[in-house]
Amino acid sequence: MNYIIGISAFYYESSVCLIEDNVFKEFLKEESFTRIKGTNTFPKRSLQFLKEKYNLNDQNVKACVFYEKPFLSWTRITYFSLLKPIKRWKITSGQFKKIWNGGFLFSFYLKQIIHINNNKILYSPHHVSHALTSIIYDDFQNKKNDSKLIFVVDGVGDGETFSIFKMTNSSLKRIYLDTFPNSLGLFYSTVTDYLGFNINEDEYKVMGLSGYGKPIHKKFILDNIISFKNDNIELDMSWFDFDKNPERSYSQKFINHFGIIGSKQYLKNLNSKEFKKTANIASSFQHVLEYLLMEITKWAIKKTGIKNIYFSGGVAQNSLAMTKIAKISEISSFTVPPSPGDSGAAMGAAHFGYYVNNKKFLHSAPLFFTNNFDFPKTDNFLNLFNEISKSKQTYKKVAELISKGEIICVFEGGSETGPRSLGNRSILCSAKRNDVVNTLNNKIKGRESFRPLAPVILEKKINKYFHVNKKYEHNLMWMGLTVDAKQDTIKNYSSCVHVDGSSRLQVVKDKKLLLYKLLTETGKHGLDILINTSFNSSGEPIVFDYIDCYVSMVKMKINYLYNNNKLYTRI
Amino acid sequence: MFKNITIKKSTHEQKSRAFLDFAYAEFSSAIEMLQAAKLTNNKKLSKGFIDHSLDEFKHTLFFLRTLDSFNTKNDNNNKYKFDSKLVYKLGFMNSDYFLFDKYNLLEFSMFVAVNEEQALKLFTKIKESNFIEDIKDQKLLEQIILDEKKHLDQVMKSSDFEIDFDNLLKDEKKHTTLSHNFSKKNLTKTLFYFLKLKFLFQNKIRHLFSSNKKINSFINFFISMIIIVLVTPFVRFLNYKEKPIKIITFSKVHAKLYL
Repeated sequence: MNYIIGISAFYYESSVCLIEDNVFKEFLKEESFTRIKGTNTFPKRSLQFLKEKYNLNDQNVKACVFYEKPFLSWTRITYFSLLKPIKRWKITSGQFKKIWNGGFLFSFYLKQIIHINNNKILYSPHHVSHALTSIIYDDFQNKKNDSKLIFVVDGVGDGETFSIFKMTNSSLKRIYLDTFPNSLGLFYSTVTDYLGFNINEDEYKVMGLSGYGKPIHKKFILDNIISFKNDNIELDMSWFDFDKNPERSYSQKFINHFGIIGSKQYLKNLNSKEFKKTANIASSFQHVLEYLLMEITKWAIKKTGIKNIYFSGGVAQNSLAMTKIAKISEISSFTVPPSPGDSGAAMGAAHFGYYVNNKKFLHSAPLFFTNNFDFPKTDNFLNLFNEISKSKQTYKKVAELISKGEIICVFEGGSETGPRSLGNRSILCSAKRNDVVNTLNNKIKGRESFRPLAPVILEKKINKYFHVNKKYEHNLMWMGLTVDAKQDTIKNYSSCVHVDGSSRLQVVKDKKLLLYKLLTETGKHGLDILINTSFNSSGEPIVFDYIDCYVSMVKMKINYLYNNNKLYTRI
Repeated sequence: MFKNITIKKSTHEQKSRAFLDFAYAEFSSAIEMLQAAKLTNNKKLSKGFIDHSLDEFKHTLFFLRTLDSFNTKNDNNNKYKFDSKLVYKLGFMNSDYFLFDKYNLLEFSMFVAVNEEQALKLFTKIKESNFIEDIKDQKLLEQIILDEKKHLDQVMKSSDFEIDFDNLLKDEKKHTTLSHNFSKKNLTKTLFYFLKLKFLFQNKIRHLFSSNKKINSFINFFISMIIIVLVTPFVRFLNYKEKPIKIITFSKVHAKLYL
C-alpha cells in the first residue's frame, strides 16, 4: 500500500487526511482526540493514531503535504504589518511568535511522529488545497470531465483571501485574486465578533440571526465599508481593527455607527428592540456578502463562459449565501463540498500530493469515513449503558420511539466528513413535535432559539415538501445548501423551517444508511421528516468514542442510544 | 490550575476575568479527567474519572452562567467570551500532552489533590466574601437565573446537571478528599509532601506571567519593539507580490518550497 498524508494545522480545526493508493481512506480532526472544539495545534494524536493503524513509515508514505506555504503565509502578513509598525505592532508581534509555533516547524512536528524523507514533505498553496477539496465529490453529480470554475473564499490563507480558479482537463489556472486585508471572510467575521460571538466558530449564528432582520444597512455598508471596484474586493480599513488588534476585529468607528451591543441576554427575547437591532445588522452584512459573491460569480461566468461552479473555503459554509448563488440562472451546476473549511483543506492537501505523484486527480470521496471506535462488547462496558434491544429489527423500535416523541442518539458506522452530522453521529427526533424540537434545540443542545434545527427526508419524498432545483440537489446529501419549504411543510413541520421559510435539508438516498431505514419506517406512521442534529453537547466536538457518548448524554440528559443494531439506555 | 485573585477589591473587569478563568480552569480539569478515564486500564478508576469529569463540566457551566449574568449587568458582552481552545494559550493545559500521559497514577492523583485543594480554598473565600453576592442582589439577574431553572425543570424532571455554589464546594471537597486519600495510601510520607510542594510551586510559576496581564503586555511590547526596529529596514525584502492570473504548477520542485 502507498499512502499520502494531508495535514491542516495552526489556524483552526487541525486535521489529517490519508489517501491509501487512490482512495480517500481516513479523515480525522484533532479535536476528536483532545475533546477541545476547534483544536488548532499540530494534529499529533490523529497522526499517531493513523501511524499505528496503518503502520505508516518512510517506505509506504509517498508524500506528506501541509495545507499552506508557511513562508508565503507569514511574509505577506508580516510585510503588511510592518508597513505601519507602530499601529500594527500587535500583529507583527504575533507574526514573530509564529516562527516557533507555526507552519515553519511543520516538518519538525511531523518527524517527531513519522520520520520520513525531506523530499516527501510538500507544501500546497492554501487556496489550491481548498480548490482541490471541492472537486473530490464530483461523483455525486457526474461532472468530472467538465470545465470548472472554482471559487475559494475565506478569511485569509497564504495572505490570500479570495481566488477563482479555472479548471480545464488537468490544468488549473487562477484568474482572480484578492489579498489581505481585503477579505470577505474577515468582513463577515468582524460582524460576528461585534455581535458577541466567537470568530471562526459562530459565523453560522450570524447567518441564522439574519433571517429575523431587515437589511436596512446594506446600502450604507456598500457605499462606505466594502465594495467590488476594479475587479477586486476593497475594504475601508477605518471600520476594522483586525489588521491592528488580534483581540478585536471592529474599530471604534464601527461602534460609533452601529452602536454598542449589550449583553447576550437580548438573544433570548426575539421581540425585544435589542434583538431586532442586532438582527437588522446581521441581515445587512449577510445581504452584502450574498450580493458581492453573486456579483463576482456573474462576473467570472461572463469572463470564462464556464457554468459549472464550485465553492470552497470558510465562507462556503454560509449555506444561505451559497443557496442564493446556486440559484443564479447562468449556473448549470453548483457544488459546495461537505467540509469546505480549513479542516477539510487537509483533504485538498492530500489531493495535491496525490496529483504531484500520479499526475491525475481523484473525483471520489466518501461522505462517511472508517469507523475507528466502535462500542466494546457488553462485558467490557464500564457500567455506562444498559442494552435494551438487540436485533436487526432494532431500528423499528427506534422509529417507534421517535414517532412517540423520544429523542435518540445515534453512534453508527464511520464518522461524517464535514461538520454536519448526517446520521452516523446524530441526535434524532420527530419534526412534527414542536415541543420536543424546542426542548432539543433550546434546553438540551443549549442553542439560541433563533437557530433552527435541520430536517432530514428521503429523496423520493423531497418534492412533496420542498422546492428543489436539480442543479444543486446533490449538495443536500451533506446539508451543503438550504431549500425553501412548501406551504404544507411550514404548516405541518414548522419546527424545521426557519423564519425566512428556508430549511438546511439533508436528503437520504443510500438504502444502506440507518437514516434510510428509519425514515422508511417512520413514514409508515405518517412521519416523513425527522430532525437531525449533531451528537454533541453545546461547545464540545462531535462524539468520538463510547465514553464521549456517555458524557454527552449525561450532559444533555438524553436516555436512548442506538449503535449497531442495539438500543441502549444510559445508566 | 487556579489563578490567584484579589477578592475584596476586584473591579468589574477583574471579576469578569476571574469568572472566565474559573470556567477555563474547571473545563481544563474536566478534559484532563476525561482523558484519564480513556487512558487508564482500570475500569473502576475510569468510571471515577468520568464522574469527576462530569462534575467539572458542571462547574464550568456554573461559572459561565455566572459570567453571563454578570455581563448582563455590566454590558460586557464582547470582552469576555469563552473559547475552549484558548486553554492552551492561557496556560491551563499543555498542548503537547495530557497529565495522564505524563504522570503515573500516583503523581496524577497528587496533582489533582493539590489543585482541588487550591480550588476549594479559593471558592470558600469567594463564598465568604461578597464576590458573587453582588450579582445575586440584582433582581433582574435573579429573575434570569430563576427563569432558566424553571425552564429546565419544566423540560427535565430531574435537574441533576444543574449546580449551585454550595454543591460545587461539596464536589471540590469530595474530589480533594478522594485524591488526597488515594495519594496518602499509596505514597510514602516524604514523597507525598515532596510532590505536594512540587505541584504547588509549579502552579505558582505557571501562572506568574499569565496572571499579570500588565507585566506580560509590557514584556511583549518591549521585545516586539526591538524586533520591529531591527527588521523594519529590511521590510522591502518581504514584499512578495504575485500576479492574480497564474497557472498553478504541480511540480515536485515547486511543491517542496515554503514560498
